[in-house]
Amino acid sequence: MVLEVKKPRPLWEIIFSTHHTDIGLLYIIFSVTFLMMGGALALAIRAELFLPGQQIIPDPATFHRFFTVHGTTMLFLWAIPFAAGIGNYLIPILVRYKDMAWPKLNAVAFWMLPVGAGMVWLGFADLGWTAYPPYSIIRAPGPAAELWIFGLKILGLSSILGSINFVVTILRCKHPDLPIMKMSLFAWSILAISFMQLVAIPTFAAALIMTYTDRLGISGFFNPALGGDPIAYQHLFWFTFHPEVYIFLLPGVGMLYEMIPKFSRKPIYSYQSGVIAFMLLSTIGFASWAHHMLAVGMSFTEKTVFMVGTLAAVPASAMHVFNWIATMWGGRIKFAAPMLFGIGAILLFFASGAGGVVNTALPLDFITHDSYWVVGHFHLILMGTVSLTFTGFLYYMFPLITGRMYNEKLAKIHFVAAFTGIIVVFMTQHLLGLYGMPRRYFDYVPLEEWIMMNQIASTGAWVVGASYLLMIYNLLRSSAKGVFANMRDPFNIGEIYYDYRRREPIH
Amino acid sequence: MQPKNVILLGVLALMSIFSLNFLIQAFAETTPEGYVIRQELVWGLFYEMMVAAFIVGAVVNGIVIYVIWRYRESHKRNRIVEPPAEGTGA
Amino acid sequence: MGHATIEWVYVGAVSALLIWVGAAAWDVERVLEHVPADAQTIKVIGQQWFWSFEHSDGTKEINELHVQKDTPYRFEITSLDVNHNFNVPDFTILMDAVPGRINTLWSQFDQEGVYLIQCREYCGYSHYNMKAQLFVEPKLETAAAETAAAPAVAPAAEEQKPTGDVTLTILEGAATQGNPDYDPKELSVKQGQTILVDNVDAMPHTVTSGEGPSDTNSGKIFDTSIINGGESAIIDTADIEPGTYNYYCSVHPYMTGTLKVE
Repeated sequence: MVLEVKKPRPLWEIIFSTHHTDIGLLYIIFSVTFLMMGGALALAIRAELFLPGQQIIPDPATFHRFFTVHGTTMLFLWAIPFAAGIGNYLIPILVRYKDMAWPKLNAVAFWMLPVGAGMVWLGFADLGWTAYPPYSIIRAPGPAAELWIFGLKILGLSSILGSINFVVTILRCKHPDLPIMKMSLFAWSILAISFMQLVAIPTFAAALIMTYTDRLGISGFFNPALGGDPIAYQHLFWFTFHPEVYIFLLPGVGMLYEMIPKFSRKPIYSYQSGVIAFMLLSTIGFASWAHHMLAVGMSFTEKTVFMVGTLAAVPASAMHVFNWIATMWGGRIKFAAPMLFGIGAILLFFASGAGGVVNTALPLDFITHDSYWVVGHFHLILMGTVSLTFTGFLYYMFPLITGRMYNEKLAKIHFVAAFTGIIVVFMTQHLLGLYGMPRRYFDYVPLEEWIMMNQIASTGAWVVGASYLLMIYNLLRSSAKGVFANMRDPFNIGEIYYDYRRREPIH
Repeated sequence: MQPKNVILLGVLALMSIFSLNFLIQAFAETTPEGYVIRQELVWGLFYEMMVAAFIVGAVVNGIVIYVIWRYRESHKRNRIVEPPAEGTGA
Repeated sequence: MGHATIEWVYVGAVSALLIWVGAAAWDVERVLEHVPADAQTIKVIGQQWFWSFEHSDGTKEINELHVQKDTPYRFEITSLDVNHNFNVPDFTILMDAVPGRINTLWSQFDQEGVYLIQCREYCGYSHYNMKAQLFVEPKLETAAAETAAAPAVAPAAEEQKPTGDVTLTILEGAATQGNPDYDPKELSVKQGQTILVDNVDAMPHTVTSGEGPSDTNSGKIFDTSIINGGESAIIDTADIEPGTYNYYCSVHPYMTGTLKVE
């Protein structure tokens, strides 16, 4: 039932299926495809910045389109669909139900994604992924901007439908023998982000409609020429997208809670603390949005409030780190590729979190705001922590999906290359920001330090890109020709792998 | 009193000492003498934060690295001791 | 629950650290927010893609800002079109320029020299090239300051409209991408003739030789520098070798044209 590729089936049977594993598979294939496409844009951006002056991208407008679509793709077409895909696969298994609560709705939610993705990619807008007005309403060229707005509308709606399905599946369809406080922490993380999406996304959905009517000229919510306030958009936007950062992060945290105890051969140190940290993060996460806007001219009091709100969310993340370390402590850790990716993510999590604390410390914003420091910071969390965990979990799920094993040696090479590459790119970008280079620059002043650091960052980016090509090769080849996995315990851990019908321990 | 509560109280005390400084600053006379030099203040704070971040980061990541080194499967103190064969009575 | 004690201690330590971070940051910000009473006001206006400055004595400058060492200045920052961000990295000056709002920030400058002013908020086509220069000059005595603060950029008061042999017009609305910009697009002159560049648009423009902002030889052959809306400038072709030259507007790099010198 959970082996998708082992028994070959006609393609249309998977595509038109409403079964949660088929939809999960589609989500995963979709998101990994867009990871590679967004990555290609990133490599083009890095090639352009390898030297000052115009390099491979013909003009600034095209460059702006590249970084807009890169950002939109990585966030909405890679991170969110991947988490939804793994959720689709595992949630019914983890809560021991036959499928998602509403299988047809589930399929609808998935099939909205290619539509939204197509609109974003066909439009190729130049708004920046944040689409700040007034630029997005008075200057951005259409129809690209309109396509972006409606593409994002559809992607948001898809997330909402998916979230409703997850909430109902977890809370209403959970097996009666499984108390909620015994449910897997990954299921808890999906529950937390589903609630967060239900609260956060409508705000942005409203802002999108308001931006669209502003573009039509029939309203002036954000247009100062008509008495509107561009800063209001930023509040609406970040009210959605700061919690969204935790929506990207928490599934990764949940995946680490799946992998680390298994590969350490030890139960989770404190299950309650994990649940509490999820609850804390998903509520306090809503109290910090305006730390993205410390430079828009807020009063001292407002800035203080949002700094405190931001700092208040940190202990919850720190509790997760404590829990992971304490789980590994005293275990017998097996360094299979998924565990390596997990440990890499934990190692980078501190740096990305500390960077966030620095960003919110009020006066330091004068140094870091909209500089490459910020680019380095959020890439470190999204690439270093979230994507590394997701990649590790993709390897971890591979036997479950295909019934075969990936090539362990190639996967380890992938990890080493990706991990070092990520450190090289994003740590260098932190430094570049301290030297004053602003983000979203097509060309830069040819200062020696800037050139050197840009070249180091570009080289690192190509290493990461190459390592992910290796992953694609590994996964494609292994799904057809890999050795058959031992489905009870593919990683030789001595613990049972996912199987919801047979839960007795291995003897 | 349970030891847990004692430690909790200690932590609380520690936190209030830290916040006392904060409060004193808040209600202190706030007019600085002369003109402050903006970039010196900002970069000064930045270096202070970096020192703290690097120390804490070294501790946290040092612990992670120690844990994965010490508790790896292949560590010599982490090998599985073969259970005695059945019937030997040990 | 000995299990949980260590975690409580850990959470307490993390919280204490964060309280320290918050308090230290708050304290510095509090000092920075306090504007000295004798600060002079400079109005900063961001527009796609240039900076204009207005001193308290009414002097206006474009893409150049002259200030005096050890004097507090209070910047009133705003924008006339989209969001920009007024940024001088060397002095950690950073504040959004938002249309319809005036944001303030103060600083003094303790080092003489020339510094980079750049835009840090994405603002469209030429965002990366929205640069200006900050000149920190020695402090003058207050009596002399009145006259000397007016920098070289300020045009002479009663200049008569200059004339040239050929006229190159910068059309109204040229600042918007896609609109007709230079008229004529391809201008032919004889070596030695003078060209009157008449800017009838409301925005400042330039006629700068080269392919665009990324061209390292930009402005080497001829460059009018900023011509304000309604003003004009003269290009003398006496020193220009015969040939065909591309030029562009350094404020709006999509405005391009060619000059043929015979």
